[in-house]
Amino acid sequence: MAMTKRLASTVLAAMALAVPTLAVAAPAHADPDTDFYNELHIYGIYGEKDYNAWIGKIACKRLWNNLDHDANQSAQFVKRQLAKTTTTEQTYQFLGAAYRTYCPEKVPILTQMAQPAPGADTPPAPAGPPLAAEQ
Amino acid sequence: MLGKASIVAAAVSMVAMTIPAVASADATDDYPIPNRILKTTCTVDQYMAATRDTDPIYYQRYMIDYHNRPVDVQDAARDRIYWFFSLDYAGRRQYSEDTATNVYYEQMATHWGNWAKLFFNNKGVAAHGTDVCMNYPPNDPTVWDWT
Repeated sequence: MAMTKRLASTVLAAMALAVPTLAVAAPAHADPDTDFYNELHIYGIYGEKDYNAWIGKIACKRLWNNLDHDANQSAQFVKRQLAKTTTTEQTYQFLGAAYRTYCPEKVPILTQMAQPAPGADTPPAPAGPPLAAEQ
Repeated sequence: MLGKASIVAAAVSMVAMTIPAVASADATDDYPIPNRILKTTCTVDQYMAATRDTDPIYYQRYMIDYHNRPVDVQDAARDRIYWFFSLDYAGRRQYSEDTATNVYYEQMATHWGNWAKLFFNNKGVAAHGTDVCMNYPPNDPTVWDWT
């Protein structure tokens, strides 16, 4: 009986400890800027957390406001704001993470870019008679 | 003898302390308004569009501040910066002098202390913006609609 009581109190104590831990962890995880910051580290992109968050959010805003119209323009904007050593690959990794975090509805414009335009693989129709140089 | 010398030295140093205090109230060609802003031939819209690309966070913060002001203050700030850009170099330099020597000269600042922050407060931003502003359209009202 004493044994059971002790076990019960241990379990309760463990639960009491676990509940505040969960409560603290949940808001921290819900901060998109922190998630974004952590994801950037996977790609080897460092720099100040708030700065990178601003750039990610402004990249989305530029699409919403029709200042940038496609992923290419968006990437050009981002690359200018990041360290000069940032590669093109890292630029697009930054962009992908920014869209997923701050404007998920814009993610398709990245996948559109990765796919060839419809009809791009069909050979172009011959345009008019051959030029003099080709004859 | 030493006593007299030290009194003289103290008097001289007091004079020396007074002179720079007076001089520091004057404007220079780079203060309080950056030289690049005194000299640029770009329009307000061109400069703002340029900083939107070159210093996007600085621009964004200014626009947030702007949109948090009452509409009459927004309009007044807009009118005032267009007026400033309508001045030639001599006029802008004089304005810089007037604001440096009289804190009450710019009435706009009593309604919104940072009303011209994007233009006057940061030499780096002014330099980046004026480097490329001529490549943007002279009239672009969208620069004020950024929220």
